[in-house]
Amino acid sequence: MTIYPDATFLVSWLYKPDPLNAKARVWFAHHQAGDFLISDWARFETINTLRDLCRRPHPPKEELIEGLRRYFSHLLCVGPFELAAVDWDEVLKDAHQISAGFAARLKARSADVLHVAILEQINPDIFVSGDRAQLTLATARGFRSVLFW
Amino acid sequence: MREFADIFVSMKSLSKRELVRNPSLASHLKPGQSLQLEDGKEPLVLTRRKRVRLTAGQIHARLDRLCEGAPAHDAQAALRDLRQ
Repeated sequence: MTIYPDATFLVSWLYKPDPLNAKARVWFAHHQAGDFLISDWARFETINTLRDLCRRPHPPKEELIEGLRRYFSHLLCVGPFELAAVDWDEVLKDAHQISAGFAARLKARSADVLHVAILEQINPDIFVSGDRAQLTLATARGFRSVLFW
Repeated sequence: MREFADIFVSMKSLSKRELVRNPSLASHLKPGQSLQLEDGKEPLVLTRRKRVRLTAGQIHARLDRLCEGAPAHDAQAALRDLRQ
């Protein structure tokens, strides 16, 4: 089974003190036999968000975020994560099409549309996210989408 | 030759001719690394199998150690802010 997690799942799963961490861990443990496909976009958004925590009140140490980044990359190297390469020209073409088809009727933030456009190429068995608007868009496009919490 | 790489993960693209001339390009692949062979419209991907597969328990234990003493933050809220 192939699984594409977006950044909403990954940030909660990686950062232990996050309120949804326990639910993300339970979901991951139940699906650990699957192949988790990670796009460069999901990886960027995840690490960029974790770094953003460092400029908030009572921030985590930057070294911690760097440690999480390195461990995330390690998981891409040894599994269970796989880096899913995509053709970015095609992603942008698909993003335009998805926007044309849905953005006038559904909430379609640019980052959400990019994830769904990536799904077009990766075509996973399950798309997992913590964002209902993101899931609604992916479901409308025909992907099996689940909320992890 | 195009190359997408960071510290641990890389994907190189080369022609079949380059591979035939220098097959060590494939044998030097490390676990988890892939080569993309140009082959018409649909490229071929050659991947070295990953060495181990960590369990959820092993991964979570490592994340627990990394996050020890970290302050509580709502990472989802941070992501929503950045997506505004």
